[in-house]
Amino acid sequence: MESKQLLKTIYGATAVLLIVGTALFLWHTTKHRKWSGQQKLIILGIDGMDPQLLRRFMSEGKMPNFARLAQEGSFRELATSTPPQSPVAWSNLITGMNAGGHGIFDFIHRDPKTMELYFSTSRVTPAAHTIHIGNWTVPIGGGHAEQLRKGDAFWEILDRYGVPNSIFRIPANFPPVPVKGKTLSGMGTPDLRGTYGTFSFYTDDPSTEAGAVEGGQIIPVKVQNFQVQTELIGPDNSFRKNSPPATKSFRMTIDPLESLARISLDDQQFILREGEWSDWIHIRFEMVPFLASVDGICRFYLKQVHPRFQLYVSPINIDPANPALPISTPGDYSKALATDVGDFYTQGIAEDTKALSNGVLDDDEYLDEARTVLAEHRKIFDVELPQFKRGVFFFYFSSLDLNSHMFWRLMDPQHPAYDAALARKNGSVISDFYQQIDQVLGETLSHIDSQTTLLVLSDHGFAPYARSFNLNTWLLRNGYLRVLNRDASSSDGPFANVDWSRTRAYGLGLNGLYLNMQGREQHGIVPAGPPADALLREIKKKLLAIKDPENGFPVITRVDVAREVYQGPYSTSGPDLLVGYNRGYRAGWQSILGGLSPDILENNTNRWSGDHCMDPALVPGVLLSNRKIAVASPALTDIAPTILTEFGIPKSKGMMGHSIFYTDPKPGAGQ
Amino acid sequence: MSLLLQSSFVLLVGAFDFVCSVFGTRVDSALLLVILLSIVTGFLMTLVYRYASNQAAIRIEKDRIKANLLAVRVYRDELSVVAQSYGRVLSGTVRYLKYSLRPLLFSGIPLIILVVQADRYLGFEPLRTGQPFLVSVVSATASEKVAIHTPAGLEITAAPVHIADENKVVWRLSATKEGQYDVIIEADGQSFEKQVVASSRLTRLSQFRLQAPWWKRIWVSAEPALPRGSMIESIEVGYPFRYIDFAWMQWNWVWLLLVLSVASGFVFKWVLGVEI
Repeated sequence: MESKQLLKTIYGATAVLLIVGTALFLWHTTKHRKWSGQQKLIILGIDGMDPQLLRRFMSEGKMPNFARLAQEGSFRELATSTPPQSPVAWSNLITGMNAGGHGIFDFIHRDPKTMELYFSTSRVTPAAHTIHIGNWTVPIGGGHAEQLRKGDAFWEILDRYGVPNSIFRIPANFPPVPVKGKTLSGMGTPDLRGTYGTFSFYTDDPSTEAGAVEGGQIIPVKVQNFQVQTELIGPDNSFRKNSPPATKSFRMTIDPLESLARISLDDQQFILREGEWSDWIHIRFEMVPFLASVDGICRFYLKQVHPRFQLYVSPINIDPANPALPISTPGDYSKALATDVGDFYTQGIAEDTKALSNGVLDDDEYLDEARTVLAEHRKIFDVELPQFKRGVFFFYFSSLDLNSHMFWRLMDPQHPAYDAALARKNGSVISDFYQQIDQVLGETLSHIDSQTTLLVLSDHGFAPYARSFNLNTWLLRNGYLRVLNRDASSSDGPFANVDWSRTRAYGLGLNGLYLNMQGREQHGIVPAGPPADALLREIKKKLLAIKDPENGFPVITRVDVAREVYQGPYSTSGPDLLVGYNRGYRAGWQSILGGLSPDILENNTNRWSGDHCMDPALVPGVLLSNRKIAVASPALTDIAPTILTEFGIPKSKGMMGHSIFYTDPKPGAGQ
Repeated sequence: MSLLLQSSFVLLVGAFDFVCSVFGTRVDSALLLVILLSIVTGFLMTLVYRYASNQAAIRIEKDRIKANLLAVRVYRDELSVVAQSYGRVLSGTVRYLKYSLRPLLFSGIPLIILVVQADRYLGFEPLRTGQPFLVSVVSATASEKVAIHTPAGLEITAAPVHIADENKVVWRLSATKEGQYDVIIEADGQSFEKQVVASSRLTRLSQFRLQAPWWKRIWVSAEPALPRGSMIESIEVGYPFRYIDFAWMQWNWVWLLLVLSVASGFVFKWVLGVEI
């Protein structure tokens, strides 16, 4: 090639590169142009706010701020997720997709190859490689916390477009996705032991059975010379061989006559009277002396001193001032927040419902804690809301959900666990918490200006949980599930007694039914294709035909075939059938974890007496706004597109809904 | 000796109180005080080292050690020379340490006095209003007859816990407003005062009031001794420990002072040309 020609080629190529580069730059800056507006969007996420209860309390004049918002703006029922469980529902809201897109089908998932159960939204894994030296284990590399929800969260997209955002305690965001805005993780955040919350109960009462109970541990102690010496149980110490739990000794000195005790733990000493809660107590678990430690916080409750000693210790929460696992963005935000508002519950489900269910705490004791949780949330809200100037502000409240679960029985005389005496005392608990949320709304409304859009929404509604349906027992009686030993108890663990070589279907989670599929489950026997489809149709038909012999009501009002209701890459990763229970019915506790109960149907006399894991059509959430909602039947999957549209951002691929403020796609919103 | 100590304490307390009055209300006042102390300590230690040590001898000894270390490298094939050189390095190090001992002795006692007094300000945090705290009283005999009286501004929030084994009674109190208070402990017809400070600023605190002799009291108490032979042996106020945030870590102030004063000492060594 001649030099002139070569020069021409180089000039030509350079020009083409320049043109292409400029075009790419212009395209990118147009697509991801930085937002510079001033408008504001405030979202209050009220878990479990029920439209029927809300209407009732508004008509009784108990919720003036909600009544005003409904009258001056809009109030709609909000279609919930399938199934209507909080992790699924909030993931629908977060991603604008259903479970087929974000991959969260239930609180609990299973590994089909091992049938091991795990929490659906996150996983904490230790270091992959280790070296053992005597009793010590040296990790090579670090462990990590993994977020299992798939798809972009709406605030990740906002972040890319430069829209400021603050997202507080939204469920299914642990560990928090990395963004520039302030986020604090919510439901799904474990305690320091890596569980959804494990309390400790110390007692010298010989009639109390020691050992693990659901959500806690009963620890026997001896009172000698008015002293109790025992240990707090901390996280597993992965630096030690076989990872035994780290422990921390503490001592209690009991007054011989008065009902109070002094507790000494490290360099801290405090006195508790009987029936009194401590402030947050800081605990440092030493993993490797002088080298590695993990910080936690917990609260003590001295339940009884004489004649029997009873001390409750809350699950040990991740210390927000020195978090052992990531709970906020930026990483040091939780520390700054703790400096501003003091220590606070970091565990996703803060209210200890298991301690109440197990009778370790009574109604009043549990309520003390539940009120503290809401007070802490309101304190954080009161600090953060005034700092919000532009963009998106989301704040989540858990109180209505958890307290509706625990106190429905005292509001509903038809409930099997109704107790008239208790109802006289605490029958208005749910209404009281609704009124507190109304106060939160009142505070929020005072921050609204002409540039602010307000959304108040819940992920699902609520209903009584009066009767338990034991799905696995029904499958057993109908020949779909087989056991190795009919007399064995199911306390050996999930599916311990199941004969997989003859089992065609099994129940797991609150609404899930799975086929034992060839090629998917380790010992699967049901061939995929027409045999599986026929089996699904057969089970569906039988489930819909079940009537409660006690009252003749249908137990199940809806059964969905998962692949018909889910869209997206994970639509076949979850259950094969989704069981929608009638109002008043829910899956029994044992069945949820793959266990078997003696009866198919039984009364629910547990304190956990309200629920929502039913037919999604029976438990819609609420949606209120200070603007007119144009869509007649909005759904949770519409919320993410609504948020993006407000800031002129096109919705992402896979998002199902569209803005609730427009009946037609908003021009220019890229819908 | 006691008079000398008391005079130095009075001087130091005056100096600390002056510093606290200047920036005691700042959130980072404890860190600032430690940094200030570190600079002063580093400077004084370097000066003491300069004038209390034999600088020429130290220089010669260090040169000898360096020469012997060089010999180890150069004559590494000559075993006898290497062994001899190691021996000289060792003996030279002992001599070097001997030269350092004198300045250390000169600076050690003032440093201890400084740390003891600084601990009154930096070791513990004053109580915040509403924060529960414990007052523990140890008596010579069984403790049922011990009572507490609180002034306005302090309130008792729980009945006392009696710990028979230790002859101890513990009360839980809380301050309703900031201030410097005296609680009165009554036992066997006698009454004793104990200072309690609730404040949001850096201030002088006395954790204990003791009956013990002065050489025991100086480490933990900044109040007059309890009368000899009285029924009460000690009164303790449970102030919370203070941790100082510095360089992404929480520090006990003594460790922070040690690190920062060594760093400042090296800076002053270089500025003043001192041989260490």
